[in-house]
Amino acid sequence: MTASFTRVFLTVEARADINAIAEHDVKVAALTAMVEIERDLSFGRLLEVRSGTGDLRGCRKVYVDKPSDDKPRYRLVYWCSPDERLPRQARIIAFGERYQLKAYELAAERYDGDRVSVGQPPVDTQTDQQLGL
Amino acid sequence: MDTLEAYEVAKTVRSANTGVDSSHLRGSTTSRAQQEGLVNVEKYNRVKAVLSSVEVFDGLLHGVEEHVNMLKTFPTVGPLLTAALKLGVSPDVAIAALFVNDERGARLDVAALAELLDEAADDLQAAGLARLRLASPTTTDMSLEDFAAELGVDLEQVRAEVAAGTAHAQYA
Repeated sequence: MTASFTRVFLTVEARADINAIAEHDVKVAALTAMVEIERDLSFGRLLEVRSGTGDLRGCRKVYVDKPSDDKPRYRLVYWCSPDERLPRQARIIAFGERYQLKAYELAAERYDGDRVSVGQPPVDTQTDQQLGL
Repeated sequence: MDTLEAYEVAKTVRSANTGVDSSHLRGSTTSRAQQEGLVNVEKYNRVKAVLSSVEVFDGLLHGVEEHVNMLKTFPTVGPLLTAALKLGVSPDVAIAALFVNDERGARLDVAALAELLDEAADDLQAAGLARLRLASPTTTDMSLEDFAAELGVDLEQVRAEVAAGTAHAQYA
């Protein structure tokens, strides 16, 4: 599995999001979800452009929580670089509560910056085809 | 004579309502027009028409044509100037690009203004990208192995549990 280590990257901001959660079991759950993403980069459900969440085309979401009978309380947002057609790595950009769409809000703030940091153009300059959708 | 005056003169010459029939013009009048370029044709001390040489008439028509072409460009100039201001192009620079006065004469160069806008838009986009690069994180991303170590969790065990479907977490 050594080669697969490079398939998932946790950005500094997303790491801070997860570390801000007090419950250790939730942090482990986030790690577990990332391992699942490592196995299947297309594990999460694709996001799109929404008035409330901005342009998150190319991003995917995964619901996460510690073992419980209740609905998962957190969302993890990642995108696949360089694009969805030929994904080489998943980049976790946000982790937050489902309540009030916090994770989407954080992801929208960080998505373009993270794309540019790995040499990809901002999402709003790209067509769906260019994003590999 | 500017283009508007030229247009008025040409219109007068071409008008059917001048009250002057060319067959009534004296040969000396047409000769003088050809020599001098323009001759007023008067009747009862009032100018009823202007007779021109062929060269002058062609020149007038050319002036009219340029004037009409300039008028046709006006509807596109306003939005382009507005866009230039929005892109941060100074009015002086935009006007300088628009108005051209060279060997072909004074005219509006809408293409030059559009090109200036295109360059300004490219500059703006480049500046936006530069801002994003400056805002992007400078610290390195973390691998799952490092994050697992930070949490004090055995990553290989988590991988095994995920593969077996027995992970202690809910995710979907």
